[in-house]
Amino acid sequence: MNAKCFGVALLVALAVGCGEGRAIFNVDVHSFLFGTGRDTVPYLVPASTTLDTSSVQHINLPGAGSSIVDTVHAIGGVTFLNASGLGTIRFQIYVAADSLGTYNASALAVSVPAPPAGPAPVPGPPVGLDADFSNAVNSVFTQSDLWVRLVAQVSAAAGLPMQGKMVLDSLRLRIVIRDKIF
Amino acid sequence: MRTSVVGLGLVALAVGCAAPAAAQGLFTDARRIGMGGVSIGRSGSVRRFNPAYRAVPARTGLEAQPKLTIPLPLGLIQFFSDHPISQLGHDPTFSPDSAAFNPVQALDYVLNPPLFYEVKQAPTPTNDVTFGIGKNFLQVNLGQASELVPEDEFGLGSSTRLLDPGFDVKGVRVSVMTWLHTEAGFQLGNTLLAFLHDSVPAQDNTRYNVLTDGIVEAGFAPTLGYAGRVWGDTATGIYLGGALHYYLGVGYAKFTGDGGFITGPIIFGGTNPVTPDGSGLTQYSKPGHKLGHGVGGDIGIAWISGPLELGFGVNDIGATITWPDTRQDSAYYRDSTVAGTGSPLGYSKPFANHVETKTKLPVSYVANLAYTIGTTTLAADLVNNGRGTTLHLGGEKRLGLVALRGGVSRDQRKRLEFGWGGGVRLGGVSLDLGFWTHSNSLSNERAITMATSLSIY
Repeated sequence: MNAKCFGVALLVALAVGCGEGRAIFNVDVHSFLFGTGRDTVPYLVPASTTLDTSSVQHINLPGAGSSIVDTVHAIGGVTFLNASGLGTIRFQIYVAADSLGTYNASALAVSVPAPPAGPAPVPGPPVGLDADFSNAVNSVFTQSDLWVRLVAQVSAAAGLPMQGKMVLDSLRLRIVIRDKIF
Repeated sequence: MRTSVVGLGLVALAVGCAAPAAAQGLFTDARRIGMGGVSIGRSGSVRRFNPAYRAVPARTGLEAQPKLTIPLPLGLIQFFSDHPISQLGHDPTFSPDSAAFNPVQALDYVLNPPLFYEVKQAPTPTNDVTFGIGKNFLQVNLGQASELVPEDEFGLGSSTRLLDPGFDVKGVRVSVMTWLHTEAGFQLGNTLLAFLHDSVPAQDNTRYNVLTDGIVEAGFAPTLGYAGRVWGDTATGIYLGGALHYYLGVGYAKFTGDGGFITGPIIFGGTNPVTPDGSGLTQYSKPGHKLGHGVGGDIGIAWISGPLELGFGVNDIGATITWPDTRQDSAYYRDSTVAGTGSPLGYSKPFANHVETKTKLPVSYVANLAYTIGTTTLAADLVNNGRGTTLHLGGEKRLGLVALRGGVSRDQRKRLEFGWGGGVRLGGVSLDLGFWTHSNSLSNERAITMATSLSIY
């Protein structure tokens, strides 16, 4: 444990280490993406094809040493601005401790289906997100470096290619750390 | 470094809430603990701080003070059972590299030494602590635990006289007293205090800091004192005492510092949200340098009138030590790699050498009152050892060979603490048991210590 971790370790110990209180991190992920262009994922998918398009963003967290993450809950929403084509779209979030790791299948934290997409109306109805992340990715949230990949998984129907963009309207994570930390 | 941003403040919190309480003092006598810390006899704080008591005759019979009190350290037995001494160097509780490392537990052991058995552990705050994090946003809500964040300066300190060997001739005493003065103080800066105590969100381009100071000094003092009865007889009389000390300082070290961090233009915008920095001034006179010197004194008065006695004593009046050969160093640290403008910069360089500096021993005092009626003794004392005042009220009721005791005290956290207990005296030996609530832990709730000791009369 280095000096950095010691500081947070002590912090979290004070918060929850010797009692039953929890440390709760409310992370506004959207604030890290807004203004960078990475809150928008443009897509162009040929007809009869399924394709992922995504953007990756690095997020600094205070880190929580050897803490145990109980749950990670996400609340947010995206809007799909589908300009052409028909098909289905899923909004997915991958998280990992490094950018390459977000491309692993095991890094999938949550996957939300959107209503069937068509060229109209534009924009489509907002897609809400209110779900727990997969427990498999919990340990990532004890790191001080978090990489998030927002994915628009687009399956274009036969006919025209699907073209448009997914815009992240908001995304907040509630990370709950519990149990004895040390 | 970013991970230590909040941790730094919480370290201060941890120390801050516990430190003032620790200064309540560590008693090793179960009798005194059972009476809430009061000294009903002519010993303890009374004799330590009031030189007049040197001339006051000792009590006799069942009211007599023991010649020797041996604490029975049940707490140490428990401690070494939990942490075997053969493995203490690798004990997971104290090893930062261990997953079982618990700094809070380690801190509690420092501030509340496990000499006696803890009947009731103080619960630590169990409320949720919430962190709000955004690209340019950081907020901490400690909940009820924020009440533990010290708003004023907090610290540890003591002024101790370890030994005072000498001889008496007709009330005049010549001795050589050894003395030790230690202090460590911390003060959260306004921004850090607001951040931790009031959950004010962190601001960008803002400094968060802690002011620190500490001193350790020690030496000896050839002393000429006098104590005697100036009026009355052994039943009713007034006693005066005084002592003149010529302090000789063997060595001292003092540090004043200002450490903290500065948030960046966007708190979580870069790889490091904060830039640590710190500066301080150290000054010291090592053993072997020219001795420090100074003059100071103690005075005391005691009035004994049958079952009633009153006393007042003051120590280390005017005790300013002049150190003729002091070295001063300035220390500075700033990690410029964070800002991308350079490498980490830290240095300590001589500021001045062979200069004269002065330190001051804190003035300590005690005021005491005791009243004995039949087999009951009631007492009160007010002690200030230079870092706050402590009030003790207590009493003892003797029922044959058995003694029942109780008391209350107001500690330096201005909290009421309670003591109760009893003892059995068999000839020249007594076995005593005392319970005492204390607030020496990381909690706003009291713990209860059970003390046991053996006294020889």
